[in-house]
Amino acid sequence: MIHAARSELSGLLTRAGVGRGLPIGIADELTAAALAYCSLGEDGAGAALAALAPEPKAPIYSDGVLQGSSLPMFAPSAFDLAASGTITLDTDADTELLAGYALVRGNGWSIQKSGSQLHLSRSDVNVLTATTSPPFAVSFTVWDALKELGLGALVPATPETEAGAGAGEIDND
Amino acid sequence: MRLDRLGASFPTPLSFMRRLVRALIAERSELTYPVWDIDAEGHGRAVLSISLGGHVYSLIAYSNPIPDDARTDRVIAEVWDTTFTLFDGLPKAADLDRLASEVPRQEAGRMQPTELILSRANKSMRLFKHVVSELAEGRQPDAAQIGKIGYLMRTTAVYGNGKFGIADREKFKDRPVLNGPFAAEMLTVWLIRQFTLALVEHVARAKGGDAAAKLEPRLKRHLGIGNSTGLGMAPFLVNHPGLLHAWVQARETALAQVLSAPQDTDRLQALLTRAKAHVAEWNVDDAVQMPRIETLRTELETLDPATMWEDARDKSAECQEMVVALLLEAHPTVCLALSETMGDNRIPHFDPSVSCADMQARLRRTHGWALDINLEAPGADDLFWYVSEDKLEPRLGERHVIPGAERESPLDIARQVQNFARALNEANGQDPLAVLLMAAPEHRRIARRIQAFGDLDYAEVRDNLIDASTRPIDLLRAKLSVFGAAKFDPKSDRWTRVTLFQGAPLAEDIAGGTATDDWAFPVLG
Repeated sequence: MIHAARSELSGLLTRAGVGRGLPIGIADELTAAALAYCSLGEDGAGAALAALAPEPKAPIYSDGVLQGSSLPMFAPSAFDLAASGTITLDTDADTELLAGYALVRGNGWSIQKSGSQLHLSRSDVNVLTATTSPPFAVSFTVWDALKELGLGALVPATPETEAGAGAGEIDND
Repeated sequence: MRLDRLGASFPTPLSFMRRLVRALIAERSELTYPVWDIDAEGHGRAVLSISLGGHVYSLIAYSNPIPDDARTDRVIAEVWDTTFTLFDGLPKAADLDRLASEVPRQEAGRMQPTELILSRANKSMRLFKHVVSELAEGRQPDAAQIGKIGYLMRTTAVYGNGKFGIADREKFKDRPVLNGPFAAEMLTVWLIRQFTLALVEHVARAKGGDAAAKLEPRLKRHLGIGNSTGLGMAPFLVNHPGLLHAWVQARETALAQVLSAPQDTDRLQALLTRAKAHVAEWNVDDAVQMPRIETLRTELETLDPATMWEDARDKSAECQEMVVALLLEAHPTVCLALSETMGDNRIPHFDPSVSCADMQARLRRTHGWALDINLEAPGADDLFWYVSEDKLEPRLGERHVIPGAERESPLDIARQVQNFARALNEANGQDPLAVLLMAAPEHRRIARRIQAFGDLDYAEVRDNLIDASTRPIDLLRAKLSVFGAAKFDPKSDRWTRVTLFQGAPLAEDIAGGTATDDWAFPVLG
């Protein structure tokens, strides 16, 4: 296992999200949710990796139902919309990370499962409390997979792209 | 708040180095050397410990021989003359053994949360060798050389906040002294300075035996720590709008208070004299900076201590910023309380339930400056920021020349604001922002930024950072001056050398009760 500080894991997760094709603001929220999930004592990094598996397609919203297969893409909108009423989620995605999104948003949230659908709404009951502090344990497999995804956010180092650094190569004074 | 203005900044009593040294002075902190296992060549390990704010912190230093041709200031380096970590507490032998195989590898190593900072430094070979040989012969080194170079070693990175397994800042954010921004980094660099001074005297003594001299305190005090700073630091100010606001707000508040207070012209005269001497010793090779320094020298001669604020109105930005620094130096008590307000603990608020019309109005009110930038002008998007696979370092490249623009880092705030404004224009004004962001999630981050930081006067660098004319070095100087760095020595428009803690009190000054906070504009004479 790798024991990572919050900020180090944050950078890894955001790069992975962007590398996977998420818009930066969506990747930010995935990162925040994953870290919150870690603070619940859960495997937030693993859950984030699982959430990044489906193609990051925008959700479809119609008649109070939000449909999508990419949790990072639909979760922020689901919570945005549920702030003023119940939203039904129609998804085949693994939704365990919704608890992380809920913790980040604060207040109480109710997530009710009904068949293949989830009903998300505000609640007066707040059952989520952070219990775990960094460093957060991340398996080497998850760490490496996130790192690999993150390569999609980086520019490969070539003599051309490294010229953008500006500093001299050898520096003896 | 424009980039070229930020790029003329000077350190003030608000600077983080000053705040740290004031804390050391207030506590009369004593530096000890619990481990000094260094050989005659200056290689080995050492521990320097100090008590501060009720906690003990230890600099663990590893000094190793490296080939001259491997000594580079670039972040891509893999070996350094010395490597360091700031350890929380007093390390045990097992800690030193564990860290001996990690700290010298820097980014390739893996630290633990007992380590707060990771750093490394290379010698100024010219000066280090000169000082050793002179001291070994029982003589003092040439003051002119010390004045010209100003440091025995320069750091090439000072990593904090969770990198490579070290502790998150969260661990010590509520501790006295270390609660300030970059306080742990500043403490590390001050301790590195002490280590380099002890090291050079140790090697000279090993070489010269009883005949060896110790460095005169005057020369010793003038030796700071060099630092090479490149683009790695540039995105920070854009990525931390709340912190940038806090820094500039403290400065502007201090300046307003100082300008409404009576001026001590004798004190200002003394500071001005010292500043002139300091600037006279500031010489660089850079073709942009050196003429600015020459202009500054001329303009400083025209200032009257009683009217310097008014005098500076038609002067260069360098001169105006120097006057701000002088005025703040003359009123150090104003800065004491304000230097404690330079952190950012706000929890950014985001409300996607606002209507698109309200969001549009807010954008125009807080980010109208971005709408005024002509992004269709020639060169307006010629540059792009990116992160290299190599050590995850930020870079700046020419969009139409090198590959990778599709992986651009989002430092193009003005362009993002304009794109978001267009999307808001096209949206139904009565719709909640959430509806727009669901369809166009690419605007989510800028929407959040505008809501969270838009009302802060100094949160944004109000320029187009992808314009061909952008000089990243302005961002570097802005940040480094808040740290307290001086003697900016640009090596290009993308990296600079500076000197940290030059003129600052030594450990013996602090422990002996003779140190003061009055060490701005150091002059060797």
